[in-house]
Amino acid sequence: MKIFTLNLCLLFLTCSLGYGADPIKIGGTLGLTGQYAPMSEMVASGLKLWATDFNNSGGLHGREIKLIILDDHSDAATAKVLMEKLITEEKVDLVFGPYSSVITTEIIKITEKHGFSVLASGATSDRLWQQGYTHLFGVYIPASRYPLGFLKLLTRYGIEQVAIVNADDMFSQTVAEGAYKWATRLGLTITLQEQFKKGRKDLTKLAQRIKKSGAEAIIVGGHFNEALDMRLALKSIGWYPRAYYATLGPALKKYYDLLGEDANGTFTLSNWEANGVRFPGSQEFAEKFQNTFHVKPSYQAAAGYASGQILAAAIKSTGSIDKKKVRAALANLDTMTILGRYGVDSTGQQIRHFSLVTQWQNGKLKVVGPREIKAVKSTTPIFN
Amino acid sequence: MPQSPSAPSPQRPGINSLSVKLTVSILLLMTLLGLSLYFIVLRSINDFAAEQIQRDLYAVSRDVYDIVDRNYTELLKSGNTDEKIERRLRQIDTQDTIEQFASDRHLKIILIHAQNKKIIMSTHPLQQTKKIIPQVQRHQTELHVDLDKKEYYGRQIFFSPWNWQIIILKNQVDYATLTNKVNRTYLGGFFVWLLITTLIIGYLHREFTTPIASIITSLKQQNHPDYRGIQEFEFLSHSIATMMRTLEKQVLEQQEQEKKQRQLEQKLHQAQKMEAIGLMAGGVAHDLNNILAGIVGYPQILLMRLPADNPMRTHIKAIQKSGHRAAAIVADLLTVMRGAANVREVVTLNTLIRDFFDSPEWHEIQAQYTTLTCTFALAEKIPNIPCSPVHVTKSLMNLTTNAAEAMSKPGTCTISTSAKTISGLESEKLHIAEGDYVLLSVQDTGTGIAEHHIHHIFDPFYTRKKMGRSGTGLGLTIIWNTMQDHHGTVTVQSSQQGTTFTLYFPSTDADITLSPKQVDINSIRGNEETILIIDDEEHVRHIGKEMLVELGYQPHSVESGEEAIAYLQNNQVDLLLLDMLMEPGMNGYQTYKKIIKEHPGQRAVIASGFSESSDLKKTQQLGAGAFIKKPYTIEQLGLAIYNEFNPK
Repeated sequence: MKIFTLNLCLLFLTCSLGYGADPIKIGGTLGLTGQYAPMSEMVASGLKLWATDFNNSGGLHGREIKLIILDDHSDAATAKVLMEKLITEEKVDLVFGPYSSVITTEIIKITEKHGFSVLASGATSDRLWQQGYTHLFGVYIPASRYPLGFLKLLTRYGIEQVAIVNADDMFSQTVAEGAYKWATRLGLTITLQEQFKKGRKDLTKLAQRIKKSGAEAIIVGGHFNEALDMRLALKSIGWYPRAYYATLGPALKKYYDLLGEDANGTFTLSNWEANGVRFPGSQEFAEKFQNTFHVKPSYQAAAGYASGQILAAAIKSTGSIDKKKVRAALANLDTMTILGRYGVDSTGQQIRHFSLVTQWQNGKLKVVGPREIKAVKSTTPIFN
Repeated sequence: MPQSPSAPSPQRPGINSLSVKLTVSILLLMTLLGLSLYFIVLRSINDFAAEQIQRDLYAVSRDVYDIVDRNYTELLKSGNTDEKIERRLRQIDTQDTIEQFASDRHLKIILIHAQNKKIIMSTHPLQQTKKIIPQVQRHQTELHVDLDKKEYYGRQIFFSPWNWQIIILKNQVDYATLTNKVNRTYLGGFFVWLLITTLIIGYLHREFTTPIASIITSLKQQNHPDYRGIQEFEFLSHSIATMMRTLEKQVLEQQEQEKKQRQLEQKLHQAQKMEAIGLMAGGVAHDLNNILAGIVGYPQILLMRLPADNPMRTHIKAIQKSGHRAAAIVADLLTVMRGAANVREVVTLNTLIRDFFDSPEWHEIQAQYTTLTCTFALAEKIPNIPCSPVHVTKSLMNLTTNAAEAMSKPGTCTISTSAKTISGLESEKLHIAEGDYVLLSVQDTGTGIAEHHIHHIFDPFYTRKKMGRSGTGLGLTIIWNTMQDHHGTVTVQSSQQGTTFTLYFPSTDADITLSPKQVDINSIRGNEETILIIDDEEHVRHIGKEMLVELGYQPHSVESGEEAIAYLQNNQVDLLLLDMLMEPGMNGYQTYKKIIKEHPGQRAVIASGFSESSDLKKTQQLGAGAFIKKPYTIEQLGLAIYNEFNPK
């Protein structure tokens, strides 16, 4: 197992600041390898950058942060074992959540058992907050609300025939369910709703059925690969809807890198964009991230950083790392991060944050919604 | 403890017991109180809780209304009111906000188009949501509906601009805190009720049932209740105990009285029986004694007058001996009649015992019963007793004979004497006067007397022996009569290990009396004093005259009382030898009574075939002297007359 231990404590800095107390150990698992690696790496980098900034600013009451991130290979069972190890063997003081709703579903059983609060910086499925967990706190809006901004956009464009497809993982299903709900409420027509097995590469036949259904727009619930594969399938049948929307994957630069010009026109959502809403510190974060990791931060990276900010705010508000106190603080906290406003409802589900609708235009991911904060006007139909 | 009389007490534990009645009464009372508390207080609490829930739902419904109203206002401000798309998007935003609000507050919110009843939005699955609509009437504000098998409190509001009918539902479980408080109040109330009821029942049980049970338990066990504790019950317990003691005492006294009555009746019966037998025996004995007087008396005179070498003396002695034996049998018969043993001599009981065991009679018994061994435990220095030695000896002989016959195998008969002072209860129990007694005990190691026999052994002719084998059935009757005549008593104790008869003789301080057998005739000879023999039997008169001549007196005889009175009108005599029963004409008493009128202080010696009679006593009370029983010996006659002329 490849273990990345990111100890960000700089010894000379520690000594110069007079740090003498034991560091605060914060653990977590991320799919640094496997299917969620692109998004997980972003989260890990965001966390790393936050920890550095935090320690540089003096830590918490003289105590530095020691971040322990283990690679769960994008596997839920592995993540569960590693989380148990972090808590019982590494004796971490606090934990961060893994990437994906599926893995979060597994590790939450461990953290709940030990009374550890989890900031879900990589999980948004609504179902996570419907199980009665008491130590799980959302960082983003729930997945069911992801497509809302895009659907409202369709309404403005007068596009009313929508096909909804999704992979059979929990997150993707939640996205599709939300899409169906909101589309129905908006009075749109669902021409096709279908689920396909996660990992299936060839979506050509599904693309043909979508075309045949008369859909004007497609919503794909999935991660990176599903977004990419569906786009390739559409290309293969030589048919393009008036609007193509997919979750998560298109938010990464890699999407464009792999598709090139074919990426243009694709709608997706973003929970944060450097050129989006200017939340306090977001521009500085983007620059620092670019300088540190030589890559443009995605919203997952911002979410990692923001998770650190939220946790730090909770610890500061209580003046303690006591698990019960931290949990109480997270449940009632109302704070600003680079990602936006943090605030959860009584189930721990995020209610203050809002997402953006973005679109690849000319090799750039542009914010096209919500209308109040859009950077550019969306283009549709995207393919002429 | 004797069983006290008690009132019928039906043992019916159960619904009629005090404990059950008390418990049921208290439970009923407390149930009534509990119901009152429920309807007056707890129901109010419940209503208060429901009111609180509705108040909360009202506030929630205001918030929802504000959300809708705020969005509608913003739509108005945007100036796009008429644009269908903008309105639709605004409504979507509104629904989004409502949905988040519902999620945060754990609410179910349903938006329905007020006119066409189409469900616009529901935070609950659509199929279940459809079931709610029929349960909600348009005019209803407060709702209480069932949804997915759960109870929901709810509230209904309307937003007219958009024709929205908004139903807000909250699961009853979400009011668990409040309802739990109410339930806890109910539960607490119930436990308080239960506690108070239990305490009251427990208290009443301890203070009432337990004391009463304690008293009743004592009564059931026929013990005196001795409850200590509550004053009233203590008083009750004490009163019952006192009453029981009084009742028991009365019962005991009654039983004692009845026992005494029975004993008296038995004694009376015994006395009457004895009287009847005595009368019969006395009558027979009188005649026989008169006859025997000749058989006993003449041989004695003949023997006195015949030379010592006369060959006829042997035959005369045989006649005399037969006479004596016949006289002894008659004496037995007479003993059955009270007063037979009235002849008193002062003797030492030990001497009588020793004399008996040296006598031919005992040797004869011992020869017959060779398995019998006698041992003696005679107390030294016991007081003398006034008694009839003949009867005491006879009693001793009867007892030893009985003892010998009671033993089927070799055994021991222990004869013991002792002195004892009898007083108090023992005196009452033995029916003898308080005083000093000499006790004669005869204890055998025989088979004992059965319980059912022991009450009859003193009855005349009651015998366990084979008829004709031995005894007359008078042996123990003689002992009983003898002891009655001696103002003593006889007791018997028997078991399978043997029987003990104990004879109680009143003791005396007097010196030992000389026995007639010990008297030398020459020492009591008369001095030509004149003696008138009054007897209706000619041969008795004749023998008497012969004996008196031998004793140195001048006898004269008459055959009746009337003749004696006539004789004394012209003559004086120094002493009368007076028969008591003479027929026809005056008896001895009447004769003497008349004589002393003319001759006050006239000396007299009474001779009679009867042992004792009222006339004899009365005669002696008039001044007559000693009584000798016919047939008498010359020594008995001489000694009686000598003592009369020479009083001590």
